[in-house]
Amino acid sequence: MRDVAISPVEPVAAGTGQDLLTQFRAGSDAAFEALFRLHQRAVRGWIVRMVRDPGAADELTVETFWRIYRARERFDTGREFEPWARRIASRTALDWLRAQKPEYAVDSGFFAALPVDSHADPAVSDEIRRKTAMAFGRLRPALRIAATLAVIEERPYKEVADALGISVTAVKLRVFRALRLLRKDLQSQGITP
Amino acid sequence: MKKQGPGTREQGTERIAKLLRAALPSFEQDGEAARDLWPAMQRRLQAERLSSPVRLHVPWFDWALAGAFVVMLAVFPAWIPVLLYYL
Repeated sequence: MRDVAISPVEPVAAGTGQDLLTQFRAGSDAAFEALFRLHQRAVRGWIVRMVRDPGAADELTVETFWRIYRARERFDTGREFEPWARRIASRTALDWLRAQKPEYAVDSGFFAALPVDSHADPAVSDEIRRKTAMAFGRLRPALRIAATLAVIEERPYKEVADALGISVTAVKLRVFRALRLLRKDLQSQGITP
Repeated sequence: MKKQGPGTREQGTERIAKLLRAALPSFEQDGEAARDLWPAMQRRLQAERLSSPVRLHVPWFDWALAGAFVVMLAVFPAWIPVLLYYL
């Protein structure tokens, strides 16, 4: 498992952080702005992992914080802000993925946005990679998002479960189904993984 | 990759997971946006505040009172003309 820090924000002093959350819950715009500036990087980082589109991630970060703002009265100040924000971000990303046309995931822009991986297996041809990515893009968003986070991004199942608001077992099941459907799709194209 | 569960431990599943990681590498991009997103957030807040209608908050007690009143009129319909007379 890679040790990639999802939240690179500076830690806030406990008292100050608690005050900030209390003020935010009470409707303070200044507290909301402070929270936005403090957590936008972590929230955007989480979103970009799910949607794999930096341009859309900007828009979805704003949408996520808008939902956070609307739901502020339901926020439990005794809990941490970031897991709550991450759950809302996951729901926002899932809504966005559901609203996209299926071909979105397989158009040229999608591949252009992919990072260049110097560790890519040279034994896997570009054609197989492309077909695998296309088959993955045809999966249902709920399955795709679970597999993206757990398999591609290698986030722990517990973290994925918390972010998606489902159980660890449900995450494992979604990942298993996603990979099984992917294998079937590839087999139908003559690719045997 | 660290094996995370019985599902991925299955040999075929592990192979397809490996292929998937080869096809779609991890998006190890910094979460930092290229531009400051706060102005966009502010515009969104202003737009939503202007477009959303003013919501009146009715306390639960008022709803209960109104409900009890409707039930009372349903049980004693003879009170309706009396009520209308005094309104």
